[in-house]
Amino acid sequence: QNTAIINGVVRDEANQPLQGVTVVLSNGANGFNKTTATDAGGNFLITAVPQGTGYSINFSSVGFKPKQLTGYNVAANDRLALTVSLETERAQLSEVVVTALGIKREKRALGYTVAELKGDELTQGKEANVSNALSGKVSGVQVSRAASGAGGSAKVVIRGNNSLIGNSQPLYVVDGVPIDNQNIGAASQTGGTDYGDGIGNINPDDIETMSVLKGPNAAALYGQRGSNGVILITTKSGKAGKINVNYNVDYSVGNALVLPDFQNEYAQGLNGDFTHFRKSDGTIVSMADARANNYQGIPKMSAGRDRTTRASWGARMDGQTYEDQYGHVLQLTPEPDTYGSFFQPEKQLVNNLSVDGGSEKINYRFSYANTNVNGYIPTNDLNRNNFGLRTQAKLWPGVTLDGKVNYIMQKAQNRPTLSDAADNPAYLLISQPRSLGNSIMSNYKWTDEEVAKQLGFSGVYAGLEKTYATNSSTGNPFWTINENHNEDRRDRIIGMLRLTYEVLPWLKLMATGGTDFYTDQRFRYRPINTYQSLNKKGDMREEVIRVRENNFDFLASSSFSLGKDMNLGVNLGGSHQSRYLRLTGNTGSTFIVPNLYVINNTSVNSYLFDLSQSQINSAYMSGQFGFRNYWFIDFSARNDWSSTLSKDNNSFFYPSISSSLILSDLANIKSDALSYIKLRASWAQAGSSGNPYQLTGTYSLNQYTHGGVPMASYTDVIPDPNLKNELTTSIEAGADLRFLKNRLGLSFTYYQASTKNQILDVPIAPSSLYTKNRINAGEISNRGIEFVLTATPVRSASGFEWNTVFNFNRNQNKVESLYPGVETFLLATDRGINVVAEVGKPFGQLIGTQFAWIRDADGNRLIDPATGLPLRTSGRVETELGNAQPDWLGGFGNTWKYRSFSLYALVDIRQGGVIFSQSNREEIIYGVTNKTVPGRDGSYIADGYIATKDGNGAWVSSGQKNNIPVKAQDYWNMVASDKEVMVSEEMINDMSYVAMREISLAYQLPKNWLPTGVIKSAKLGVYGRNLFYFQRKTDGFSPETAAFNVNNSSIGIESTSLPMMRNLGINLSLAF
Amino acid sequence: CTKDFEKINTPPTSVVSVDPGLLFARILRDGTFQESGELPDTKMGSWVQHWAGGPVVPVSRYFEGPEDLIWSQHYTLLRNIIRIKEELTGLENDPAGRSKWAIAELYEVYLYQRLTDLFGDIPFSEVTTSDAVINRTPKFDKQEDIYPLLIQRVDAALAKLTTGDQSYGTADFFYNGNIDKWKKFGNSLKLRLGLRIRYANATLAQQTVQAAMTSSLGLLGSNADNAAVPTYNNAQAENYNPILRQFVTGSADLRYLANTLVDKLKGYNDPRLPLLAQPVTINGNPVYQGIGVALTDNQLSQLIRANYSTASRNTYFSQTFTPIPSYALTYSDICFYKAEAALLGWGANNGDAYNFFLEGVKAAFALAPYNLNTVPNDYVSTVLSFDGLTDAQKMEKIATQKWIHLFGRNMEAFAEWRRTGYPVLTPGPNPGSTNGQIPRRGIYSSDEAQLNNAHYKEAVARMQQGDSFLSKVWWDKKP
Repeated sequence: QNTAIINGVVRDEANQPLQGVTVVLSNGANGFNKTTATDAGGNFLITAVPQGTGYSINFSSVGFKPKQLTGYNVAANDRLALTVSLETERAQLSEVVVTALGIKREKRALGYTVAELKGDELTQGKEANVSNALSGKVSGVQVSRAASGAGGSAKVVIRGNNSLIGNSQPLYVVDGVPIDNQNIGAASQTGGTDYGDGIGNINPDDIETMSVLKGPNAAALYGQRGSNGVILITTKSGKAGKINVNYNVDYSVGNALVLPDFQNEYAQGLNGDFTHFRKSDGTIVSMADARANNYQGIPKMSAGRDRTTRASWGARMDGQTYEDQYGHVLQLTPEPDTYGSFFQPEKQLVNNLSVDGGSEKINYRFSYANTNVNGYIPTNDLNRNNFGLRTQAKLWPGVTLDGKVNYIMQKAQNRPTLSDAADNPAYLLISQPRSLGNSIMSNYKWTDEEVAKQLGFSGVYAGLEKTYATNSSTGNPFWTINENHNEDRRDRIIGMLRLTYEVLPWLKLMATGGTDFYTDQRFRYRPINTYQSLNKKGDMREEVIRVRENNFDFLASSSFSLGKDMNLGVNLGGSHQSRYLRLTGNTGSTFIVPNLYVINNTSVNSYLFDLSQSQINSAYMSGQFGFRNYWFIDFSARNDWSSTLSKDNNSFFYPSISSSLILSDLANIKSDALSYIKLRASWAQAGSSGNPYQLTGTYSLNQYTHGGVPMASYTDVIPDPNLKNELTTSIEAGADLRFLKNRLGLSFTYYQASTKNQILDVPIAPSSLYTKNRINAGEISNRGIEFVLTATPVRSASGFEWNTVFNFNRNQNKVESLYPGVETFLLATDRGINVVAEVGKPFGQLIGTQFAWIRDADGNRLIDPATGLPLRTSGRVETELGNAQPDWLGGFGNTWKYRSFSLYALVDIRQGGVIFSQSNREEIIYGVTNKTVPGRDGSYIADGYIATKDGNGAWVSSGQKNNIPVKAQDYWNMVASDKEVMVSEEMINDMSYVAMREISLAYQLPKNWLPTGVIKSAKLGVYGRNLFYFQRKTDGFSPETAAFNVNNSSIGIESTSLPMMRNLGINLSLAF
Repeated sequence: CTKDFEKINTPPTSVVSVDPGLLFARILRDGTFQESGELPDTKMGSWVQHWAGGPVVPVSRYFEGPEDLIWSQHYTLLRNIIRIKEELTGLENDPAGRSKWAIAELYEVYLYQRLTDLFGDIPFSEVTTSDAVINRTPKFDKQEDIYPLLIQRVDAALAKLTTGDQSYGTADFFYNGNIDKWKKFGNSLKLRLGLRIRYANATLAQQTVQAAMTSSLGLLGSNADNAAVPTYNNAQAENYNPILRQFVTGSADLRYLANTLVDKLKGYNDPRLPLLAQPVTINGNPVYQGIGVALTDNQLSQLIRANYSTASRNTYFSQTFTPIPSYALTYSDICFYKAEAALLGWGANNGDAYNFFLEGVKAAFALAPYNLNTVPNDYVSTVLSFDGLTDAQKMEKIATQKWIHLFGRNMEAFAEWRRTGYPVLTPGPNPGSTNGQIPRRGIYSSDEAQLNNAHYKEAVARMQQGDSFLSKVWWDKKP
């Protein structure tokens, strides 16, 4: 036989041999056709190839671009040896994106913007909560974090706030099924704990792609919860071929990025002096007495609850001998690191293992990840295990089954209490007297000797939690972390099963069932002798929360060719969604015997109960029309039936339409300079129906009886049985341009959206007998522009490539209307600051309700000639302090690749918007930061002009710049002397920042370094996250992490937040 | 498949209709407790110099601040009273609902009086009375228009009260469903309304007082007729006497008594002192010593609190002492009013005043936590003696005993101090926003000011010194 043999090896881009590649050798002329597959070494062999010309060889494998080699001529006894390299399909994915209902679409056919991130873009600088990885990477997406330590929540807002109440967060859809993203029991301004959100449970390493559908245009098909945008997550699935085993390990260490700027010169006291004095005979007198009578003895500190006793306005710390409030005789020296030394570096270790493989018929992927975080607050830690199994199988011709199950088991302990609360270490550490060291406070129980010698405390005894303040809501951070305890555990299953049947080449039926259910168990106690507990006898709380969300979807999709130039696709579907939450628990206080933390050991206890359920049924259709592959029209229509509205109003309809035109194809522009022009436009609506149980006014039974007599009271909200759905209408238009053979790209979008008929609980005057009125009212609009500039400035033959992306979003939010006669809507109020929605202004106006400086016409402060201090309004006034929303957001990402090296750097930018800092207020009241130091000796000169009275007795400027020296304490006392006695504007911070969000370097280890046959590839990476700021204007805290929860109402207020972490990490990925 | 929707959307943890008794119990308890406890003690209670207050509560140092909570608490109570009336719709003239309705009405008047006494003009006539029409922005009525209407409403309610009707039973913390005692309560309330306007509308005052003094319904006749809510020490903090709750859950710096009260009791050698105040040890001796009110920053910074008396840890601040009821209206109050009416000759003779006065003091001594069944003879012969006194001096004695008796009932104590001018109080040294004067009223709620702005401004414009501490309410007119 004179036949030929063709053999060869197939490799991927990383030069790794590929197993299971289908190789088809064929020749139309002689009818030869033979199929084989590559072995473990990537080799294939085809024998007995007859002589002939015009052979072609096709290589195909799931996950890779198919390749065809043509025009081979085979002569007798030829030995052809080929080396073939296949490109992974991912390179292609940039043009194909996942859209609503999980349908993969060519990007060119979409009339709206979809941003897509690949899994590896999300995991290069490991964020435990994957939402945080979006920050700076996608235009129009604003990410902020709750300042809550390991396992905390993230807040994602796409294209501005749509809603006056609740939250404006997007819907998360994983593999076509919505998941629950509630933040149950979020912290408030007076404490509470962030137990994390739903999305934070997802293993970032399981994510193949993440698509951001911005606003209802892209999300019309997800119904109501899509009106804030949708984040679609597609998880990885197995690939046909040999078994792939991947393992990666990541370790990172975090430290505080920004700390308060503490002063280390002046001790506890007032007026530059001590307050008390211990005479040699042991009796205590006031310092004034001691000085007047020249007593023998030493100065003595006193505890107290306010500025007059426990603030750091005292003597200069010069090593003098004194007695502290607990009776220790010490030298007065600075304690520079009371704050920082309390905390510890945050350590995070993530191990991730996945195994995948399969054949053309069935594939599978199993993954396991373990995330272990030792928190910044000592004893706070988190351990999360994610198990995932996904399989896709071709059951019969045309019938595919896709199934997935994730099990998440997360345990955390000693999550911090946030904001203005005794158990928040940051809250207490921030105002701790600068002369009081942790060596005193870390011995956190009173001793007999201290009790005997203390001054200013009341009712203390040996063994009690030792505090430095005497107010009712104070604690000792060392007691909090060592004696108090909280723990929580979440067991969560996210499952999905989808059956797809290709009935005919143009008709496909799909049925999907998805479930997400979890049980949270939360337990916390404070032992006997906790200062703040009732009767100092301790307390506990235990609760179980069961949450379930089920979604069932049916979809029929068809596509037709209407002649040569046109094609049409039509989808019809229906869905049923049900949500359920049930909370049961107990709280108890006053333990009977110590160290037994069960509810029957409490002498006073009560129950916790909540139940909530709702359902939505939907019918929808959508269609795509394409003309000559350059003009596309999409349309959709959806009707929802929601259980939360009345029979007459529970059905509502909303449509959408969009179009895209590839101008470069239509006009046949094919130049190297301008390679692609696409125009797009869309219009869409999305309805939404609010929460359950909003229609009727009800009586609530009192939780406790009074001596056995039950009690009830009526709701404080005037209900409206005729509530209707909210409706968001949005339009967007834009263009995508590519130049210089795609080396430069610009994508531009203008959008406008408004949400009308919001279901609001409008605050009404107390004399109405109610506090809120539930109505359909109000309209909020957002309009803005987004652009994304992508470029490849360098791509050299030597293998060096530089890619850069800059994205920008300017969103203008406006409260268009509220309710007839109502111009402002109170979103939140906290210690003298109101956050409001005000008609004609952006959502999130900050209004001070305290005092204001008196200024002249030019805005200069006026100084009282009698005192040298700035003049302050005599009463409380409402002062506009600015708006919490940013002017614009941007991100600047750069990737440099050279051979096996890849370097990525992301700069995250926010400009504009203000925040009120409760920390700053504490710092001023208690004189603990450096800004309160200059002029304590009486040489402080307040900025402003000396005032004089005009003919009408009003203060006006004399034109003379102030030159009257005062004591710094007197000046700062005018600024803030108590929580609700302050000039609010002095605690306003500009939120603008330019942050070095991420730098990561990856190195693909050379193959010859690796043991042959065992490790296919190895990649080593180092990264830094939240590294530093190019620009920051906040005083002593990070602007991004200031919020104490992720609800809308916490915008604009910082409340003794925990510092944001700067993380440095290293990771290693191995493929076997 | 939307047929289950109504069931799914039925509120699972609450109901749409209840027995009015459940509401009434809550109203009586909260309404009574709200006059006492940490916040009112350190606001009105420190203005009348029972409690020392402190820097934590700026209004105690005469810094103006709105009374959002007190304001909203009252309208919340009124909301639930309206709900009682809604639940009784159709039964207003039926034995099943008639007296319940009238009792709710009497307590509504009680609350409105307390509210207008503190603030002056308040929303009243236009306030929502049913679900059908909710008035979101009722106008503020003048106090001089409110008082006559309150008196009329008491009369109308008294006319409805019928012995033998259904009542609230055990949900009635005051009288356990005894309608006759509610008649005495209503008539006593009328007496109080009348005397409060003595200096502002003498004609109406006299007419009202005389009618109440001579009414066949009677007035509270002994401590057994006191309107009071029982408290519990072994339960939730919300079941404690509010003063005990202040001790257990409140701020340690706000437990101290004012020097004025302590010194007054010391000066009288009043046997109630050791039962009211906690002694401190100075130079080895137990003494009673109160802190000054409205102190300056410097004074506060140098205080040695351990040297000052809190409320007694054996009575008010004790969890083992027999729970002390929280009082709303007492026989002593009525005795002191009767004594005053007698001095005026309104419904009694001037000569009766002393006996009423003495009876009032005896009843006050007998009340928990003092439980003193006798008033010492030398106390009677010196402190309580009317011998050789003018009517004004007698009035000072009556008002001073009432001031002591009203310890813990801060709003009433503040109203009576303003009305009678007794005891004469020296303001604390801190100038605050009043230039060192004791406030004469509470500042309106900031929520009301914002959300009912036009009417708020109307009311403010009527006041001499605007919405400030120093504007006086209409009846605050003692020459």
